[in-house]
Amino acid sequence: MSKRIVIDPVTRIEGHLRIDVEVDGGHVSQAWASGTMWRGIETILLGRDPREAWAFTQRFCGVCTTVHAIASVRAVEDALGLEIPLNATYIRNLILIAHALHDHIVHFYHLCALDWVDVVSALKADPAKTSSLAESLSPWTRNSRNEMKAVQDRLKGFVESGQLGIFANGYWGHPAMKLPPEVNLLAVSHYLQALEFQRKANQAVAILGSKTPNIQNLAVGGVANAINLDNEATLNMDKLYMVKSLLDDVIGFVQQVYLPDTCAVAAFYPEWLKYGSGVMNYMAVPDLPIDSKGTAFDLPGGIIMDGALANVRPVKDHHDVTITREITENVSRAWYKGSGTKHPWEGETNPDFTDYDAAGKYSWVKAPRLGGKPMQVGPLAQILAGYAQGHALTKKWADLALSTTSSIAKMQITPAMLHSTLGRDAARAIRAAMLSDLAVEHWQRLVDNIGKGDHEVFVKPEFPKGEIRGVGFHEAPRGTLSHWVVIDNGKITNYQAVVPTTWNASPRDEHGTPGPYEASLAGNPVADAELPLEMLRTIHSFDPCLACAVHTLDPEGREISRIKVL
Amino acid sequence: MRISVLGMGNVLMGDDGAGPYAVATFAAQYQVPDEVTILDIGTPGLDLVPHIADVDTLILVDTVRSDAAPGTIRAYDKTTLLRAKLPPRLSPHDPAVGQCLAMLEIAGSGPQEVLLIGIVPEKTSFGPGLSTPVRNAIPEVVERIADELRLRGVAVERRDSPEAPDLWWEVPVLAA
Repeated sequence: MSKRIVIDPVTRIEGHLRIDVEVDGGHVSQAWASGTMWRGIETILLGRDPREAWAFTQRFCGVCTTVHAIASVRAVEDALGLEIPLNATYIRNLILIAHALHDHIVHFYHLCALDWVDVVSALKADPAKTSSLAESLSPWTRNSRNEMKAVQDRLKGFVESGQLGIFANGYWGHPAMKLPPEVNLLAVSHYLQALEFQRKANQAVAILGSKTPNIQNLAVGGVANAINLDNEATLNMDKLYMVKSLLDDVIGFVQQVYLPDTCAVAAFYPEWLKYGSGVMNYMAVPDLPIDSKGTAFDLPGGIIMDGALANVRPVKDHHDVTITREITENVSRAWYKGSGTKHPWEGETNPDFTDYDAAGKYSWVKAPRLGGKPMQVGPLAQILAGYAQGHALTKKWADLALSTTSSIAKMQITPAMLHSTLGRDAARAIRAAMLSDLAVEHWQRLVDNIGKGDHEVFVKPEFPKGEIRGVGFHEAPRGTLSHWVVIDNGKITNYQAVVPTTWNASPRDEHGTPGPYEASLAGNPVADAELPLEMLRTIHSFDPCLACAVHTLDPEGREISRIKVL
Repeated sequence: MRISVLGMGNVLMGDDGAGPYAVATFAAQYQVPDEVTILDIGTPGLDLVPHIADVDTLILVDTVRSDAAPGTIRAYDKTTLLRAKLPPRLSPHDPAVGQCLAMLEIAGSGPQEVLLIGIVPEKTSFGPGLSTPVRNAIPEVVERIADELRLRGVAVERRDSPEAPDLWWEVPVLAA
């Protein structure tokens, strides 16, 4: 008999994502993803000055702050046809890179790792064996026996004091946990080291962006960082070298720790390179522009349909008509009035809540489609698009990851296996490695350009009479983000954000076609319905972000989300 | 001693903005020495770590869920925050104060002392602006922040001519 499992945020206030699955014979047969909070936050922008929109949009989400800021200024600049100075382009790129590195590291170590790593098992590890295993994988200097022993001792103290309860969401001892104690200890020690590198990446963003979270240095038309190499108060060589040194440290961690750890996890769980593919249509937009016109980019974009890498369609720039014209959102299964399909510039946000009905409307998330098809977005989409086009930097790191994983697993891991739950996690580490190379390159571009005597950072925007429209694309850590703005006489009259998680957490559309989360859960094994660790693995691999808009804490410890088996 | 006073919450979501509102008001009315950081931290989820890893004392101002009446102020300490059990985490963005404190604790860093000044909200729904009971509670929260800092030996000075707090999110839309 089939069983139904619901991971349900109990209250509207705190929870944002509800997952329902039907399990039949130990495997998921059908799934529904539901956004449980209304994300109509764009309507706050109606009537506002487009130059200020980015300050509001970066509050959409407390973690994806910079990405919504950048997409917003790009949207307004696109509407104005504004070309921004090279320095501004490179400063923005460095912020985007540092933010993305930070974000990918946090995802792997602090969200996703606990799905694969059994922390308690690390207590049984032999620190010397752990150290020699680590040293066989990487030249990282902080893998010594003493380092591993110190982490193990500290962990032991924490467990003995009974404080581990706070991590009760970790499924330790679950039958689906398979890492040997030494790999668990290695992962725990890197989990703790990751906290340091998360801070370093954040400091780099803070120097360039004046503040974190919520950077202050953006402007429609460029950035507000005055450049004067002789002035303490402006962006000068001292500050640039501080940024460089912070980024160098983060780069070391990404290349010598994050990427090898991801390969090791994938090698010990090769079955998860089979589950979780779901929607195999992929979309990524190019990003990190290297000229002020936005015609050349260092991160590749492309569209792949039905997993056919050979037929990849490159997306060359942000004016590609496929992405500017063929993106729509459908509301037939979402809690909005009607059942229509609209282009974001014509988009409407008219909420109409009816009860949760898996056969009818069941989510606050609209169903975005490209040419009528659901698309998976995120690092995997970008890696596959780049790999399929022979993009050199993508191939360099993807091939290294595949060969490292193959040698640990003692089996051939192919690019086709990336269409999977662990493939998504691996792609994120591959992307982080690419970004770490690009961090150095874009820092050098900025320094060279300033060295030529160019100190320009800003072009003043002028708003014409009448209506103009713009779109700002950004390939964010979670995938393709687009902000769509309509401006009339210098005032915002429509604003729609199509965010990466809207693509991935999309509900079914008017044809009943499931979105990527829903499709990826089908076929997943579930060993224990009360502890559906396998479902969390697949959902976490997408790095969900459903408008973490509200932050009410619950220190009195009432239940705020739960798992129900019906 | 390094002390951080962080106002948490989303200024676009009604009473959820109480934390940022309170710290902005405090900063406008009081002067503090350099070792004290006053920051509107937004809704950082797991990204709270960089902002609390190097401080000795952390004072958080946030909305809290409680059965008490809207506008009620409640204080919580580190032990309480570390005791709350975490739900299954679906996203890196769900509130993560407990997890961030616990991670830093195992790593051997993070604040020795934590004080959460909680404000019970009336409405944390969409759109900027506080409800009346929460707005009325702000002056008391501001004084509470000042008192807690003084209690820890910080020289808190009331400004001779208080500035208007920077509540940019409350600026009205352009006239038609």
